[in-house]
Amino acid sequence: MQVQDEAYAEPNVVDAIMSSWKTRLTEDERVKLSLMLLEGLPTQYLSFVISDLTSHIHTDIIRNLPYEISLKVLSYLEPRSIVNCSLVSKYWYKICHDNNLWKKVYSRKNFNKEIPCWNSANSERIHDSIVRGNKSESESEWLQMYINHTRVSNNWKSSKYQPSRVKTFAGHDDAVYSLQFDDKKMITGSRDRSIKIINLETFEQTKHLEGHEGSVLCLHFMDDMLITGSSDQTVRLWNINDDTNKVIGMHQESILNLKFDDKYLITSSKDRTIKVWDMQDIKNSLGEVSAVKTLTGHFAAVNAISYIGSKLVISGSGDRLVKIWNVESGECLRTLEGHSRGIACLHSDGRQILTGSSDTTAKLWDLETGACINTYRGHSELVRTVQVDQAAFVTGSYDRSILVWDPRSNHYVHELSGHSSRVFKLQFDHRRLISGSQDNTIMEWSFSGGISNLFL
Amino acid sequence: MVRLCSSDNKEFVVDNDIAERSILIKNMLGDLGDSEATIPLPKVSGAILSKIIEYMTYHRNDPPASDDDTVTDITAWDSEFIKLDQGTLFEIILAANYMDIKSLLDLGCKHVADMIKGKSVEELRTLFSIENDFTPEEEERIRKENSWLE
Repeated sequence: MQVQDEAYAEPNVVDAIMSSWKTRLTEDERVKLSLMLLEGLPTQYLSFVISDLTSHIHTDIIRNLPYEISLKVLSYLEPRSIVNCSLVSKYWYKICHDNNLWKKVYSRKNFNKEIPCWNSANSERIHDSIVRGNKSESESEWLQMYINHTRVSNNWKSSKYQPSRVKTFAGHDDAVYSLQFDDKKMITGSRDRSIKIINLETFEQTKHLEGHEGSVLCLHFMDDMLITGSSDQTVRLWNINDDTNKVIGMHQESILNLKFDDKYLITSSKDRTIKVWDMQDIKNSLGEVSAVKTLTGHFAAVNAISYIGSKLVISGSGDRLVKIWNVESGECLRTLEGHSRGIACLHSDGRQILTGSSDTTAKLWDLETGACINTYRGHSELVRTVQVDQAAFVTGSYDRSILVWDPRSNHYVHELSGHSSRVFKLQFDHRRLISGSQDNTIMEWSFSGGISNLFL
Repeated sequence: MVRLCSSDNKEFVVDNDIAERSILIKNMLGDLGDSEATIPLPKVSGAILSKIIEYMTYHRNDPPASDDDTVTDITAWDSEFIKLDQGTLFEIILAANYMDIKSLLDLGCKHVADMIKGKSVEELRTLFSIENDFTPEEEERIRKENSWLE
């Protein structure tokens, strides 16, 4: 028997064949040959071959592509899909949390349509302030913002969320007729004839203004300029800084509503008229000024007005009619009919008009066409105060309740009960709603429970 | 006519307007002037380059690529073209990126996104042959983190 030469290895037949294949055979011939070799193999081998080949065919394309290109791929996905992908592997998790990816996803989503009173310009501002102020807060601020804003939007839209009453102000001695707030302060007007300036953070009074000889029925402020209207038939301009005020004009009866911008002040009254005042006149004069125009046409008290972009005035009256006026010409452009009793309140966001009536319903109208889009039934008494936005709208009523509606459905999502008497006035922003009532109190309701203020 | 040479030394002769769908080639041609020189594409194999030329030929009359990121619908031809095995798709995306053919890069990326859409985590791991490298605790934590979308 021959002893095997351990120092010499016979060339492996398989290796030899394989190396010549690759160079001598065309791709087509190699496919043919492979199939021939596989033919007749027991299935257990075949399944081994298949699983081995599968791993060649299927590759982790997200990991293998350059990072920027994988980001591009993910940017075509819906947020839900990206979130799902983050569970695939550690690498996928990391890329699915990329800040630039979420910046793109965020900018694609129009939160103006999702969160009431939201201005997407806010997002950039908030993001910048977070990044400047607190570098270590989060590596993916845009994702955090996306999450938080989605949650706020869901809070408005889903009845699963319970808006909680977070603050109550009880400093007025009588019914609260009017209120307005911005980021820092709130100004309120009451049947007790006083005006109060309240710190929005603490809900504590910072100023108490007196001057009107009747109920403060309406008010509007911009920056440090405050204008109020009263049952004493006067319209007053206040300087918030030095507490001084002057009467700038009068109606023949109570002033029921007023709005102003840089150009005009619009007032409406129980005397059935609407007056247009020139803001330059008001600023330059030391005392009363004359109205530049009086809009007549309503047959009853003009309870509510909305003033759009220095161009249009929309008015609602006890005569059951809504009228749209051209401010410059004083011409009535359109009259909207539909409510079966007087109109108590209205608000327009420049796209739609929401009206509340003594017939206990609220109606949504298209500003452009004047068509009534929908009628909302939920209150059992007069609808006294409304605010409309494309993401949500709210109605407050003599029946003491406040209803939050989803514009896409006919049903209200939230019912806020807390006031022990008629609700007279409300305003909301993206995360809270504040209401004033005949019960002398002002309440704040939160829609951002549990969400970091940092991103709102 | 332009002469293109792939990484495995295969030569392709194509019309200028076709070749110039690739911004890389367009810029190289600009630098070279009118010369008859061959343009080497050392990162693209012949098989892939031939697919890409097929794409550029079909799209020779398209308006120039714009910078905006508007998501446009995939045409029937493009959708047939991009139905490729993962390996080829991967190579096409890389080559489109390298040769700077924005519409093809978009098409490839969109196609990968379409492959991902609607699939469960398990299906994605199988499709891309990915091993789960999370511990059960980590998975649980991420599931919790993701619950905001529920």
